[in-house]
Amino acid sequence: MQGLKDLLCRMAAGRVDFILAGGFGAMAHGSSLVTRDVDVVCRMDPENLLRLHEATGDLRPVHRMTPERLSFTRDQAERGQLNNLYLSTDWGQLDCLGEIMGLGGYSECLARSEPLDLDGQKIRVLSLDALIVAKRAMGRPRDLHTVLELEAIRERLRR
Amino acid sequence: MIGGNTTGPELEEFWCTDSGLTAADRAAAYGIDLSLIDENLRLTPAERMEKNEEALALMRSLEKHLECDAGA
Repeated sequence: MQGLKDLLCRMAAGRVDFILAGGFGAMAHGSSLVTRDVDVVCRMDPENLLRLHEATGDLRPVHRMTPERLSFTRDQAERGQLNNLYLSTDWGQLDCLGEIMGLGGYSECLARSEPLDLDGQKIRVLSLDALIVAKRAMGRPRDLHTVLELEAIRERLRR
Repeated sequence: MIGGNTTGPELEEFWCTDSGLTAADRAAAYGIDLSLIDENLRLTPAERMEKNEEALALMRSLEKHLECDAGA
């Protein structure tokens, strides 16, 4: 079965501008927490949203926060008036965020990201330091666990 | 640095980085199994993602069985 990694590769192949963040980004750096969804910070303009729609259209993306689980349509992408997208797809849950607490929008996050090779596809992921800043800004119990793991990972990598 | 007020006061000490403890010591005191992190650091990011998928598949399978049991 295809999963979240395949979803990221699909987006990269579709030239969607995004940066991996959140728990899945932390896991990419070595966190042991299992995560059900993938958070990315995206350029939320029509051009990029259309690429996202093209890349995921056959995976039946729906707005999972709406009671009716309405489809993510090409029209919505073209209008581009979206701050965040909380999607459920056949390959897993995808949250596209316009900005990350503690860091800012796509441009600010891009400056604090690093390249990552996934099965031959080049994606970008928030750096370890940036993820720690973002998770500290969120400040929830689950974020504390992630922060402690990421800070321990950073310490180990510096040894 | 304090991480926010959405965690209880008993957790606030873990947000602090000026306790004199190493990051590994703070994580261990919180109850984190550092061997899991060391195991992950031996993998590539892609392998870590695949491991996450395997864990998710197991969780989904368990949830399905629990739902069946609840409905029986």
